[in-house]
Amino acid sequence: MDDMSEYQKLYAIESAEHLQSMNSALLCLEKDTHDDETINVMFRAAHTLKGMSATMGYINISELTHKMENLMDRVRKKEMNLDADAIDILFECLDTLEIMVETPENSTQCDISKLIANLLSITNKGGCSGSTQKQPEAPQKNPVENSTNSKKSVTGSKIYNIKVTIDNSCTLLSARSNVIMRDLSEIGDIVEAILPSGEGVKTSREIRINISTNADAKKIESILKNILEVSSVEVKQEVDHSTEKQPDVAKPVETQHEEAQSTKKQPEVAQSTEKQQETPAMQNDPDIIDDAVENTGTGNNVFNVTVTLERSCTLKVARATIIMRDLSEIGEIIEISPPTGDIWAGKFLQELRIKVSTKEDAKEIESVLKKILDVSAVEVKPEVAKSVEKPPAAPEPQNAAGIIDNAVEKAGTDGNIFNVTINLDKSCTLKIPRATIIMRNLSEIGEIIETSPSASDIKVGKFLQELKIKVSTRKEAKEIESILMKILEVASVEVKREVTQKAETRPEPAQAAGRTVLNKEKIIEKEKAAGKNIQTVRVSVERLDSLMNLVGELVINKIRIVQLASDYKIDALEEALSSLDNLTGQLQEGIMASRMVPLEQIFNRFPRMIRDLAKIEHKKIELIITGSDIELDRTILDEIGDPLVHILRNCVDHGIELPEIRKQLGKNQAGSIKLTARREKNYVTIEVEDDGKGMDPETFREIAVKKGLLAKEDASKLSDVEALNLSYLPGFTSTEKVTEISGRGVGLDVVRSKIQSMGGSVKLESKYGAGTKISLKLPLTVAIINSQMVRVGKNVYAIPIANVVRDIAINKDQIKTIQSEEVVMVRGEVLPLIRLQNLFGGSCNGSKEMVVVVVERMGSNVGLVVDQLIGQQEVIIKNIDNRFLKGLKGFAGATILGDGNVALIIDVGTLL
Amino acid sequence: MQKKILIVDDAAFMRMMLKKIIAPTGNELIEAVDGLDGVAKYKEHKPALVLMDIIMPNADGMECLKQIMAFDKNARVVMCTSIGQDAIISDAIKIGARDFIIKPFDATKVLDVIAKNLEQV
Repeated sequence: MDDMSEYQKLYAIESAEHLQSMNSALLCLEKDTHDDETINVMFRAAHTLKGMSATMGYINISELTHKMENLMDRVRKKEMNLDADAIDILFECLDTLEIMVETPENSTQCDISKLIANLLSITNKGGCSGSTQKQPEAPQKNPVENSTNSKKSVTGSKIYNIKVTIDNSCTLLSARSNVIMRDLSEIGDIVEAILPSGEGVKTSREIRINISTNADAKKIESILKNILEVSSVEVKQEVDHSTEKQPDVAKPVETQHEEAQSTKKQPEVAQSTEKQQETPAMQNDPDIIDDAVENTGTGNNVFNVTVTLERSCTLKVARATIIMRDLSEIGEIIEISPPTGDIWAGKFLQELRIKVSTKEDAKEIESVLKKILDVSAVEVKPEVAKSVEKPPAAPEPQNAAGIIDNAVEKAGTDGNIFNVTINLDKSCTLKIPRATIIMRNLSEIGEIIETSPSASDIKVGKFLQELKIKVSTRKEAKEIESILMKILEVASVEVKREVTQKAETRPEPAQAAGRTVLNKEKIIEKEKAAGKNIQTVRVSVERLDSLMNLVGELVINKIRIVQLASDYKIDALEEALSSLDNLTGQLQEGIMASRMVPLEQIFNRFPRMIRDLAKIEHKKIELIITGSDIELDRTILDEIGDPLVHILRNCVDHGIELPEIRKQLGKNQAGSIKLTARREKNYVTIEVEDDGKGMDPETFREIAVKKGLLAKEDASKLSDVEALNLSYLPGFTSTEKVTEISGRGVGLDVVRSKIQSMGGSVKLESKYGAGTKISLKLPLTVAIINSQMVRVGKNVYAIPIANVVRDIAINKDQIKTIQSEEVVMVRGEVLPLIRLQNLFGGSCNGSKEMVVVVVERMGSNVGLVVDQLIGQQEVIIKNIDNRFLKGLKGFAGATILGDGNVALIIDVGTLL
Repeated sequence: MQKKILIVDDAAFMRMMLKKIIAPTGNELIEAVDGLDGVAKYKEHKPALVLMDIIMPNADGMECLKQIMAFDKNARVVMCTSIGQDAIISDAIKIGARDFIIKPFDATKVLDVIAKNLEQV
């Protein structure tokens, strides 16, 4: 794939989503380790991320996710449980993944060997008991024992035993092993491989590989020595008992039991644990192949077909299945070498020999086969005149004593024929005896005509959960069902009466599998799977910004035209303008909506953060999030992340008490933090409320006096709310680390100034002993804010509505002076006054009436005296980035008015 | 002749990858984001070929394949899979999948599998 860079963006976005969903899934699993759907979510995310990373060539990421996927797969299959250790390690993996995904091009520098070792040891530990109990009859193998076992080669190439030792300095053992496997598989077929397992990372740096290849020992050695970090290589040719072929179809299936399954197809799957998962699953494969073989020729021509697969073919079993299927579509397969059992166990190299009876000619066969991917060579030879007479298919050639065979051998006599599909419980550990019971019970009520998988396969445990049995009986379908359901560990039974009355022993077409009943779990899974995930709109922020800006200009121009129209009083124009007005409004709304992002995007990471913090501090905390679907402008969202983290940290650090203390106080041992978002008109309120110890205004007063910020009598005059607001003062408590409330105020001033700079406000409420609530009031968007326009002197100013409490008119006589500051009594409250005329320059007009805009500032109200109220208007904020005006306090920005004049936007927080 | 190809994969990244590979063939591409969507899109567009991921939310690839095969027994579905899923692939083939390709995708193989499978339509 040529240019990866254009995919990187999409990769980054999507991988972040997957990490997020894994994080939240893991948090859920920490509470409930048995939630199947969450386990599935986790598994799928790991799997998808693995695939994506492999595509991008990020080996480390795909390696780590691959191991995580394996672990989750075992959990999913109920082969192991997630314990606290496993969850911790998975969390660590996620952290590392986050780092790697952020700069994936550097991901190879990340050391994941320890995590992988941990994952493997957990996967193994959890697995051993579970899986061995589950499939004792499955052809498991111990890699070490098998290392001396030789494998048979079909192609006539030689087999070498190779021992590679990897340098001690190598930190990525598994990645290195993969490189070795890959390079070796390029020259031949890896018959057997034992890679260093997780536990052995420290001790074993040795890889043992048996390879079948045409290359000589020297060549192998030179290839291996060229690989980095390989410290020593030993290549020995295996004493030859290899090149014999296995032409006999009727080779007993049992043999492959003793023999290990080949690992050559999947170098990376060579660890024993993984094999345990793969092996039983493969046992379902033979149907097609077996069925195909069982089809007997019906005359026609017989050809001997030799198909050679490419060396690069990685899923040979599946590929072989396709070959068999395609061949059986044009004719009938009479014989296969190696025997089917070996094929689906993957025990063949590149070559398949198939005897097929067909009406088509050699050319047609060849063209059919050549169309199949991974087929490198096809040879079709007509069989020298020999009529095709084959015994009927039903009983397997190898007869062994036992109920199963006997049952099958009895042909159906009378009664109806039913196709019975039985699913065994996943937890069923002894499948063979269970199947035997099923067969016995069925043969008690009728006669078994056919089974799928075949009787001999069932006997050796070569089946998953499902058994298909054709039975001839006089009983009713219902009765069969009830007999079978009575058998332990039978999960589901489907009984269908066969329509054709002929008790023919032809196997069912392959498609039959499609008819299988959905088992219970699948249905549940489907229903549960409706979990939502965030779909990202992939438009660059810059593009949205420029659109927003354009709309802003458009709105300004519109306002200007509206003003002109009203100045000149042209009715027709005003009419036309009203619809323009409407349209620009909609456009503006639309663009704004497209910039909106759900709070979820920042809220999502909080559960994990609180969990980690709580763990460190040995506290028990429950985080309750509501309203995470509420949307905010992207710019605001980017800005409030840090302040919220700060506030939440404070809650954990200083708000919530230790469990013991909470118990003493009669509180619930687990503290709660509520993170709530609400939409209120053009604002969004975000509240963080804890039920911790709260803040004591008295302590605040004392500290203020101690620090020399206030005189004692001043401090005592402060109301409780005012006292709490002291915490906004920069550095108010930062040096008092020992006090009860230490840190409570640290950075709260930073939080406040950040929120206010966006046109929002902060409110602090606290009840000593009961908890603290911090509310952030935020505009939906930063670009356009609703403002109260006022005139001071000759200039127009905008005051964000968020800060405005109300407008009042006062009489000059009402003004009183307290401590040389002007105040006015409004509704029984003292309202300090600020004359903007004095601040901004300009003369006070002489009229007795004064207009005051009451604004909220630091939790208390202040009255701004202005000359004239102009009205409310939406203004587009232009930032003052100018270096001359930067650092100018009291203004949040500027805006262009309809008449082209510039108005400054007042920032109430920093004014004074 | 232009034909419809349906890509069923929950990862937009993978869909993009496949689109990029297939686009030069001039065939019309349809995307589905999960198994359920896949079945719906199949019924709507009746594509000549389906490229189907296996592990997906809301009905996985196998379930989707089953439903598509039930709807149209001549459907041509190619499974997209990772290494080590022999068993699933063999099951899929039994259910009616025509072929499979392995992730990470090799462009030539993808095009090959598409050409070979479209040829037979």
